[in-house]
Amino acid sequence: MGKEKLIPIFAMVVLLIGIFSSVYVYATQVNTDTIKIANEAYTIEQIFSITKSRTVSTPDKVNFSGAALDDLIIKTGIDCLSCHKYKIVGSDNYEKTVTWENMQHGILTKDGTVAFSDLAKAFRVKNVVKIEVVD
Amino acid sequence: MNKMKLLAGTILFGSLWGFSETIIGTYLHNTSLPAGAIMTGVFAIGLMAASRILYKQRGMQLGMGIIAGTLRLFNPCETCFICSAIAIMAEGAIFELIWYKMPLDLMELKKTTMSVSMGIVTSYVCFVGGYIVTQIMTPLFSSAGFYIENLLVFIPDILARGLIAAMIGGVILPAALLLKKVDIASVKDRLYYPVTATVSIACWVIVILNAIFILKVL
Repeated sequence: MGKEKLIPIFAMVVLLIGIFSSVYVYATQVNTDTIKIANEAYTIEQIFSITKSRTVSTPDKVNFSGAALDDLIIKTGIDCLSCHKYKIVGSDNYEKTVTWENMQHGILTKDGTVAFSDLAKAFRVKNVVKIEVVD
Repeated sequence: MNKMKLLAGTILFGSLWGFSETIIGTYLHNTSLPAGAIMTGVFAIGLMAASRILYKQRGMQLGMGIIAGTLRLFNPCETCFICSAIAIMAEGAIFELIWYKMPLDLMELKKTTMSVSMGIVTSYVCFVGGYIVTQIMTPLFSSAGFYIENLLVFIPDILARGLIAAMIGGVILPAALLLKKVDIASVKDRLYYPVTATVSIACWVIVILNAIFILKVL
């Protein structure tokens, strides 16, 4: 098959991949009012009522205020905090795994965004639906 | 083509690309527009395609990527300098790979179907490739580390985001092909070198001044 046929076929395939991926992402988006932390669901209000607040300045010079992530994890009663890693999952399935040290520089804002003062913008997770404790 | 002319052209187009990534890209990221797709579709693909059409030279786009990536290092708002630079260089390398078998006279792109298709494929693959490189490099250069499952679960989202870049590429490449009538070799040296040097220097000066200004404000 010549290039004249092959390249338009590739273009069609690329567009179909983009369309089906968009449908998949939309269909698998999670919309919830609660955030699951180590299999327990909490509302944002509950989280803010039990945790200390903190303000952080991210490496791209943006200030964020919210609930301190390390205090939040402590309040959920997890043992051996530094033995685990923490997976932050957004409603669009975007997820980032961080260490306990990173959690000590992280916050959860009222609009559900997690940001870290010691990590790049790529580690900012919006509309957080879950914080998993992983080994 | 004269090697000096080619080098000046590579520096010019690479500087324009780096300038757009650093200055325009930073402001686009603060809007609700799909900044990454616009940056790849319009600026990266537009400038790389334009340079390939004008200079008919393989390897030039990789050189442009290296220059643009270097200029990107002068962005004080960047959180992982080296990651963005490598992602831009990767886009240049991906472009070279896709266009490697394309004859330099670009006669195959004469038909609109071919030019639109080539624009779609090039823009989509460059965007997805550059995005994946960023998602790997940023955690690697951070204290958190890289976890393959974090990337794998986000692949459908990256593939979906590439759709806009693909559609932009499908418009930009046929538009860039209008430059086919321009014969860069016929431009007189006494005009070519001062213009390429002035524009390249202007790009670098503006980016560096912008970095100094932002650092002072912050």
